[in-house]
Amino acid sequence: MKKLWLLLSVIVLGFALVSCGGDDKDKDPNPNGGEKQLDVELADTFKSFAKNKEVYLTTVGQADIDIVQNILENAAGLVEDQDFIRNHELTADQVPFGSVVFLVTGTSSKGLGAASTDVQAEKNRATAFVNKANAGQISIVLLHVGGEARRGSLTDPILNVACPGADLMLVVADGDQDNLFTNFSKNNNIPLYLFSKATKMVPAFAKLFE
Amino acid sequence: MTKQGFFTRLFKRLCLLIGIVIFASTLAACKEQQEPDPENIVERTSKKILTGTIYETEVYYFKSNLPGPKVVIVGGIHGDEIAGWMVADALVERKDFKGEIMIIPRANILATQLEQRYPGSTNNGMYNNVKYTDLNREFPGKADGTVTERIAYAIVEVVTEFSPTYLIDLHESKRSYSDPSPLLGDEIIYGNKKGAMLALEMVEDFNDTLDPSDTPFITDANPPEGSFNHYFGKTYDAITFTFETNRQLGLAKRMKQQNDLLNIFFQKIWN
Repeated sequence: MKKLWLLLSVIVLGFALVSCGGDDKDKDPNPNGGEKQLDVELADTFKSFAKNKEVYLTTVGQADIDIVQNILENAAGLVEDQDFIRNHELTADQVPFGSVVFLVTGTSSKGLGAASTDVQAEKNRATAFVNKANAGQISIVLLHVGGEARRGSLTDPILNVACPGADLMLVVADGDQDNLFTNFSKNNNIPLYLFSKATKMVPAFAKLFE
Repeated sequence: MTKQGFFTRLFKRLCLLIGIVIFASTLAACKEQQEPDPENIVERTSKKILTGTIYETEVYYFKSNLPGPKVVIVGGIHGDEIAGWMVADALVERKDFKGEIMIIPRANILATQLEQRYPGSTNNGMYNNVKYTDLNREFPGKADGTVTERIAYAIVEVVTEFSPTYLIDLHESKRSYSDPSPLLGDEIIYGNKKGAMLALEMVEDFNDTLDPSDTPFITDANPPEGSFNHYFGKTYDAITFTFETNRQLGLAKRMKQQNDLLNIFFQKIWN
């Protein structure tokens, strides 16, 4: 009988807790994803090749460049045209020796249409950046913030040429479910930082330009 | 009564009491969260635009005594994107708005009545011997232009007068971006880079609520020229979003998605 009452009380207690548990879903069980230490490490990695260099921002795939620009401006406090140049059609020969290019990957068919370009042209642009990086003339920070939704036949051909040329890769983990980025990182010895969400990149970016 | 029996009964009653107290207090806390804020007094007014025509439609204004930005929500620019305008229809009954909200539930009212993209969209734009075009390619419209241009113009006029910070246009797409023949379904489209981060935050929060079998939403840019989003995002420089649910899904689910996205949006701008 005693056990029955105890069980009843536990059920009531459990129900009471569950009945108001909706908000918990919104909370990150691990605020900042345990990424604080990684943020510092990432900043050190970035600064090792990018400190005080001219920064360019472009996209190969015509997607998500606004998101990365927002993160650069709001988290890192950079100002367009003053601290970095944004050009969604930037070509490798427009980038001076010694600069850092933030190369945003992920392809949007609508973005391609709006920019009057196509996957092949974007792939060619990416290849030119990689050739310049391999010649030691520029550094590339490759970003993929769109997760799984920005993978597939439009995006992967560009990733396949762009990833090996990167000095650093910042990727939303959902986009690496098949270990594409992990494998490029291992095979080419490129530092790779995975983030649970794109918004989790914000604190990391805050440290990049400190 | 034995000493053991007394303690057993005492223990049982204590357990029950604790359970009841916790249950009651938790329910009270929940109720407090769910009930509208009694200090939030929302005044609702409305007016008609395009009066005296078959395109006459209602514009609702909500003004709260609590602070919040000015927001415009539009439904029914495309009449066959039913979830969007049905959610907008229901939205005018809400009493928990903060700041100032303007809602045009059925911007293209004749199209919503016909449940067509625009009147005559299945008949080369001809309906009752009048030629119509896609309203979402005609913004900002013209005061003395075609019928569709005049509808667009009336909407721009009333929205501009309200001077909003945020605008949301509720739409639907025939297919998802993830379909083999992709369209715009399951997307939030932002009109300019000012809205990119908020769109991303909304998408991330929304995707957290989805079942694993659901297609996650993505953000996208570049609304088409002549669209409500493009005009107000590029020309007027407001923060604009188009919500695009996927018409391959059932109506109830699409309406829930539109509502959930709106709630996430409100949560973000009111907090």
